[in-house]
Amino acid sequence: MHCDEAKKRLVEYARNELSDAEREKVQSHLNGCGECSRELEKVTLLVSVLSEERNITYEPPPAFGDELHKRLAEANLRDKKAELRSEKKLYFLRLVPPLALAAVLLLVFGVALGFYLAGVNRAEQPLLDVSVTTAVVPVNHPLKMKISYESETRLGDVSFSIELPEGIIFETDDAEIAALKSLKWRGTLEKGKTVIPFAVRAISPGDYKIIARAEKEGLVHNHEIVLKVQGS
Amino acid sequence: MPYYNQMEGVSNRTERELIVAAKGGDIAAFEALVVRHYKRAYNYAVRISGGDKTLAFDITQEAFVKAFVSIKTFKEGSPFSTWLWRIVYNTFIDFVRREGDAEELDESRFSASGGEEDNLITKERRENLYKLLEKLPTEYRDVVILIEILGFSYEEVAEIVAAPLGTVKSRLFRARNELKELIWLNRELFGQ
Repeated sequence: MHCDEAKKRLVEYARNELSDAEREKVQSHLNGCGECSRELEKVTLLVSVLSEERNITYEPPPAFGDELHKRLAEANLRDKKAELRSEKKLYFLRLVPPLALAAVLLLVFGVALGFYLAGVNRAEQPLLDVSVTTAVVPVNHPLKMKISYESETRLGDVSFSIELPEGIIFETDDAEIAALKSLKWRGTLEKGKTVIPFAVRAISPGDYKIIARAEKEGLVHNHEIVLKVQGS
Repeated sequence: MPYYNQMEGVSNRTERELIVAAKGGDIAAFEALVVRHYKRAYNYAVRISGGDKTLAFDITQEAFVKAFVSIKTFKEGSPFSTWLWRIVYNTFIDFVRREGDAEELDESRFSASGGEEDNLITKERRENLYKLLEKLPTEYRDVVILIEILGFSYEEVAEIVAAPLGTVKSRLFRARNELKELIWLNRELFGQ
């Protein structure tokens, strides 16, 4: 047996894990090799230290389970809050609550957006489509809006967003949503027509631009809604 | 009686049922799934945090919270404990990365804490071993801890660290060699 082979087996040798035959070979090599014998001394110490360590088990402190439980509950809560926030937003968009005030302006954008992804050579399709709608509206009045999309096929995983400029807020009883400057979510465009309703209010006169955006895989449609807000 | 001991044997549900429940945010189900791993994970953490038990407690907690948060990604049908230990291992690796260079060892971390009534000599030897373990390259150190100290098999470790069996074996071989030399160089600390 050569030194290399002997050295490879020294840990097992020190732990008495070799077969009788192997053990004899190593022993016989050690008898005639000073270097490997010295090596065995080192290995014996290693083995002893590891063996001692293996026999030591630390008990987690008694508070471990309770503390973990607490942290898991916190994690759960964070998760649920995030879910609730996104659910709230979608609820707001899907069911625009009936608005109590008598004079409600309904702006319907029957604009067909060219979101024709199926069978289209994307190189020919412009990356950014923009439609613009302008309306004159009164200040401090709830404004119901609907954005209409047309699609040849059902498109999943579309990123939507609605961004409000300063001076325009979402019209809702929900304080959290009312404080938002933008809403972002992922959804589906149905084959044919998809309508996204939402409501806003202008809090001071002026000219404003709301941007409603739909995006999928690099194709973007921006709808710019220009509001000329009048009144005092 | 420690909390985690009380959890054992409580649930009559199968592992699969517990996993489904845990995915739905059921904390008790998750705890029932992982309680039997607390101790071993904690013991792993103690060895990689140089014996600092407060730190070990924290990173072990972090690992289990991570597992809970990611359980939605667990693919049913694959072994749960392997998945869990992969998260434990990766959490601890990240911890080491955050801690940075192990050269600058904070000596105060090696003061004893934790209330075991140990033989003083043994405690010192342990602490010295942890100091030396920190000098090993991370992948060597983890393989030594998982196999030599915590008793995982080569196959289990290969799954946990996501490396071929041959790689695990060669890492252990190199780890033993390096550790052997480090211990020998400092043998007066080990009663030689």
